Amino acid sequence: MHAEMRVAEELERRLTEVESHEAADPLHAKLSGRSLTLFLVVAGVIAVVSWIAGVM
Amino acid sequence: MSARTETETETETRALRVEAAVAEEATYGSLPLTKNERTWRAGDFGWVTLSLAIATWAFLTGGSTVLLVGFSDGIAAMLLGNTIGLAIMVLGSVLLSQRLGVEQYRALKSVFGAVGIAIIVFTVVLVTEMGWTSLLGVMFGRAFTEISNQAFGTGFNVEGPIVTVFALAALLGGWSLLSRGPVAISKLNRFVAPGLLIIVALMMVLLMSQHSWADLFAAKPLAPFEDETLNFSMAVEFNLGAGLSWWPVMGTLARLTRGPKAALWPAYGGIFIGTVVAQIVGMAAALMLGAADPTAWMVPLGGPVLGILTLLFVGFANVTSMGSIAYSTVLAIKQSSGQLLAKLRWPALCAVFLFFPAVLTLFPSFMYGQFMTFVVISGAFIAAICGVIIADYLIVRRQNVPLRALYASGTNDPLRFTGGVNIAALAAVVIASVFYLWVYNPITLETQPIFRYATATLPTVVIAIVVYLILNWLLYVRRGLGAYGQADPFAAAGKK
Repeated sequence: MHAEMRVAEELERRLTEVESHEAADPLHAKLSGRSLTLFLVVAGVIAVVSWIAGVM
Repeated sequence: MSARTETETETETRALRVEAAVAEEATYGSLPLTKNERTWRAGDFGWVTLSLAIATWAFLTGGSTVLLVGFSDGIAAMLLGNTIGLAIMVLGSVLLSQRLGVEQYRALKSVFGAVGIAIIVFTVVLVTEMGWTSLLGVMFGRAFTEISNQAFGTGFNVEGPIVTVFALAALLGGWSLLSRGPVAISKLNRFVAPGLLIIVALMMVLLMSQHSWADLFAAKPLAPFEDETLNFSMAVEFNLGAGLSWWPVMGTLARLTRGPKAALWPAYGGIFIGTVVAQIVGMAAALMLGAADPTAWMVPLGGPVLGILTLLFVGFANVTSMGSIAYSTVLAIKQSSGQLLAKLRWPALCAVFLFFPAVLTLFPSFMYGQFMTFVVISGAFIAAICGVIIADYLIVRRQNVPLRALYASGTNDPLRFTGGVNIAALAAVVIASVFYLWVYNPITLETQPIFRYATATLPTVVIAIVVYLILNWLLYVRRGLGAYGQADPFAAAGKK
């Protein structure tokens, strides 16, 4: 029981810290639409070039 | 106190220390990490993923690719398969865990529900990782059988029962390593990853000093089918499966990074570069030496002394790779099992997991022979799972997951769905996986026309996304269930 309480307390401490002190930190930023698009474009370009090389 | 008693006490103390450390990780590791614990920048994470990718399985993947296609087509298939497979895998694993700093399977409660994710862990994750573990064991067995034959002239069959004996010894070594906890595994990995990098470079130098580039590009595939387009499509699909196979371990690692870009690019780039480098060597060696099995290359390439030393290193590298993948799997099992396995001590839990790969090693040629089938089938399920996660996290939730709800339980749990299961998510996984196996059945090798032009994975991901969006809206979103559309507590994060 004591161990379970310790875990519950530790969880609450962490949640409070993350939600209050870190709420505006870039650590928790969403991946922007621009970054996602760039990522998909890079993966897509490699795929298209490889596909063309493969079928030629 | 006698010497024997002192030794026993020492062993017991060490066992208890390991037990406590692992229990701490299993318990506290599932809690959200705070900023000061998230220390990895893009470069740190990139090195970790690169080290993971340059492993012995990449040699085997390269060797298996050229069963179907030659060197230039093999490179194209490898790049095409891995870029798509890794992109899907990364979007389906690292983003969610990174934003919240939460371990992968805890974070995926928001997609599948608490019971739903346990079902995924005890089926797809467990079977996939058991397969890879047994494969590493068999590779170890073949490496040591080869060493015995070369060093002592024993003449053992590399598909015979002696391979099983060595493979079981490898699993025992893996268990011993696993039982010592994550620190021992990471300590060994510090030597193994650079060592494998040296072996990759050495193999390529030796190979190209004995053969010309013209020979390499002119070499015929080892065991192709008649239809060249189909060969290429199957090679691409196999590499897609290999890229997707990183999904079970990637999210938990990404939670240590300090931003979405520091998680996204290294997870994709590190694995991609590491795989490409090791696989190119694997393909070249297999084509020039006429065998897909990496353990058959070392002695012909390096001669008896260097070859045996390389085989020894590759064998032990397999044990640390086994430790790395088995550790994350056993941890996932421990966390997903609730009270069911809570009382089992860490070494016993590791032994339970390793029992199943041990059974598979009784059929060493089966595991090697069915390697491509295994990778493709596990890829079918992981592609569907990633599709569902992408739909939920990026489209429905728009990257906003209620952090506290991940730790809630009982009837007040906002992520309870239907008795702890998001039926829409599991149904979408099943439907999309069945579709995959209809488009490309890796056992009968039957394919549908779409397979040649669109692979089986890409339409599977699209189907998983569409089916999930429809079912999830019908079952949960429109009824206000599943904690969708809530205010984002991190809305201001990263905004200046």
